[in-house]
Amino acid sequence: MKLLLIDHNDSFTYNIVEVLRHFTNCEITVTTYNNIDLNSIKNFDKIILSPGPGQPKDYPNTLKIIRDFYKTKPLLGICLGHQAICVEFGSDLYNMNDVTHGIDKEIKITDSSKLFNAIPENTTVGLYHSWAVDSKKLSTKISITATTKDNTIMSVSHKDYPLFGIQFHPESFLTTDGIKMLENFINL
Amino acid sequence: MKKEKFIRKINKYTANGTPYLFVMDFELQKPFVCKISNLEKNNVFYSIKGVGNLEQSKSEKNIFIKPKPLNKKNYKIGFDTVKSEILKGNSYLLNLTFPTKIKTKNSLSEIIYQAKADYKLFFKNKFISFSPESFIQIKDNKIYTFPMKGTIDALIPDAKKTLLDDKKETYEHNTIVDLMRNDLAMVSTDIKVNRFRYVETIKTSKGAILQVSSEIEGTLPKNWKDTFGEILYKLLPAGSISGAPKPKTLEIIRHAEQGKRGFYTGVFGVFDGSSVDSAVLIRYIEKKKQKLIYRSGGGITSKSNLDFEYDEMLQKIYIPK
Repeated sequence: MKLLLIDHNDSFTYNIVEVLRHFTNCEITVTTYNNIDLNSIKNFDKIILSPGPGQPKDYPNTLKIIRDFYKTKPLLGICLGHQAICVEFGSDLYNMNDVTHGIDKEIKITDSSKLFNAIPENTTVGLYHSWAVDSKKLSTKISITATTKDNTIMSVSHKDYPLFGIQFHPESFLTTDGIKMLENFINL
Repeated sequence: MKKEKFIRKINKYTANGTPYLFVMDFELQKPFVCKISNLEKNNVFYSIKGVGNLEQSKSEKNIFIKPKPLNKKNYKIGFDTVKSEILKGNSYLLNLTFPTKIKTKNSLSEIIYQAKADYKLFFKNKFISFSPESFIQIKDNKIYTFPMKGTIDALIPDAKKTLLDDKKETYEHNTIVDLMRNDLAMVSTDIKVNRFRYVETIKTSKGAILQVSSEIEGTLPKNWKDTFGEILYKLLPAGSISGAPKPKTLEIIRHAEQGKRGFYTGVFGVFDGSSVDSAVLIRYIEKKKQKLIYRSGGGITSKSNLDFEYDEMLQKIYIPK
């Protein structure tokens, strides 16, 4: 299986790579956002959109990739990648009053998602975000699958296609079940 | 020396087992490498955990330095810039530093002779560093890094508990651990956090302070000695003195600090023929037009408080004894 990891100039991308190295069925290609070749994307089986600084609007090619490929390839967005998926499906982002960088929090899985297969309903995750997804304008095609106690959206999935977004960082050492979540995505 | 030449030399010396010392500035523009046997000729002296060509003074002599701190108003301009970028999601953690003019009767060589630290460097009478912070160590084909984040005056009641329970410090440390796991994963595999937030005491001319560190390990490819020059470049500048995410954070640092850091927060290290030990160039004094400048700073996060960070920057102006 050929996996493309799009790196939005982040400093946690290789933590994701390090987790993926454990899955022998997975051949990983890391491409930084600035070097994306849109014509080569069709050659990959699955796509992961990395975290990164800024907001989805700073990365128009990432929004285009989501638009062009969500029906044909399993796609997982992490943090900024998750926000890009939500923005592409209509949502606005809001700047949080209480920015959470390097914070571990418990989330509650509220709706079934293949990503959370064999993961307890309450689990601890690591957070690095100052923006969050506003559910108001979110497409009805997208379901919210996990939230924090204060109802911040922590994960989403598409109702018809294997498109997943997670606000937290599965690659962080703060996330208890992160490896299992990435394994679930690889084994889709 | 150009980057390509530096990499070529490092790779050759490391592969051949030739002991050498390397120094790199924060901006990665002035790489320096020199065989250990030629250091004196170049007016470079070092000591790593007591080993090297730089002696430790046997008699204790107190070194007095008188800092003339940067005005808090000017610090605030940089601090506010950084804080607003963090709230906008452009950085999670940023190490903000400033130069402080100091006055002392002692020369750079007298100060480095007296200062006690695991990593000491005297570089061509241009700067000295007496650093407590290890950058990377390589033994066999294991690579280790020890990011240091979190400082407190040891005399504060319950200092250790206060420091370890502090939420802001914990979040900041979490971030640096994830960042350094990432950086090691760029050059090695099987990344492990061996020790998380351990506390060490450092004696200074102003009393003892406590510092918090973590230890992270990775496994290098068997042929790492052939490509150590490239490995170094991938890891630099060090995460603990820049921040995360690194590229955007470096851009904000350039903007907020207004000047180059030079060798401050660069690294120096020694290859002894089989292993590597190296330090981040902090606790640093440079000579500029016959005046001495002490450089210091600290990690800024969304939870940082102006007065606290300003004080921490000043607290780090000391000579360890």
